[in-house]
Amino acid sequence: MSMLHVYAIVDGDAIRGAVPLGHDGQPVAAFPADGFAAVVGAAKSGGTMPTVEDVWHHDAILGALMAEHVVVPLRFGTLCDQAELSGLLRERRRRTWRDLDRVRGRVELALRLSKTVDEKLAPEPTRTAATDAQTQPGTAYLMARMACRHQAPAAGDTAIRDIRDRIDRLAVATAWDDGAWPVKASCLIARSAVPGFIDAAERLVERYPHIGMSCTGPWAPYSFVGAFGAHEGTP
Amino acid sequence: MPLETGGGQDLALSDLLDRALDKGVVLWGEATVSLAGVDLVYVGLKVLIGSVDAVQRMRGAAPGGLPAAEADETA
Repeated sequence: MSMLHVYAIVDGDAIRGAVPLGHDGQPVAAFPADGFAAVVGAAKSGGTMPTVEDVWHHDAILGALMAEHVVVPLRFGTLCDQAELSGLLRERRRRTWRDLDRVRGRVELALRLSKTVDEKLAPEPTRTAATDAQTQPGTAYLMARMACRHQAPAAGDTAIRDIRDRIDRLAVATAWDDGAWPVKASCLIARSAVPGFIDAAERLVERYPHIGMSCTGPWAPYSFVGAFGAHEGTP
Repeated sequence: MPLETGGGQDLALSDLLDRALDKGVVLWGEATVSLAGVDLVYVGLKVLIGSVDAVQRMRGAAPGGLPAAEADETA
């Protein structure tokens, strides 16, 4: 049975607007299912080893679809045959509609926060600390310096908490991965609110110069479909 | 430090891989994606790095095999 690349699920029964060819140079087409459609393309039998360029191509297809549709993105590399797809879409009809409603008019931005603390920004040890150590001044200075440097991550954590609170208020929903540095966040934002979000992020960067921040996107809302563990912000 | 928007290509690629490989809708089981040369981009993807054969062996070794597709709670 012939296999299909499945790229996304979109609102409507047909594809609107221009969409690039799919993987293997195959045209993409709508696979309708009760008011929404899977966007699919034929897959070569046997397939080829995927490359990073293929992932970018997957993203380009989603980007083109997002210009005209509400898009529920599927993971890169999703393959199935027509019978499987038909059954899965039927089984997941309600969940699919929930996802479509959740991401309608919204995009995902990726934030990455990193520590940029260096010696110049770390607090200087005081003379009192050196004196209290009752050791050679040089040793005391170094010990105090080390203590100050150990405080730096805690200061960073305070900043991260504040940034996180503010970002949560700005976004429709956020999903944080803050177990380790860099702290990463996925933010679901109304498309029209993206410029304001970027401006607000710029202000946060100015407020905490020892925290580096990057922002990429807009991406298809990968992190908010099936939305497991996402913190709900104010809609 | 200014906000880095858009980032370099590596940064954007890392964010894309985080999403396109690790998130999004999964129709069933887990994606069996193998990409050559991305292990330098994002260490978190190591589980997905390797030959397709290796991934298939790992999946074959998993007790119970692939999880079945989850249906709607109230279909």
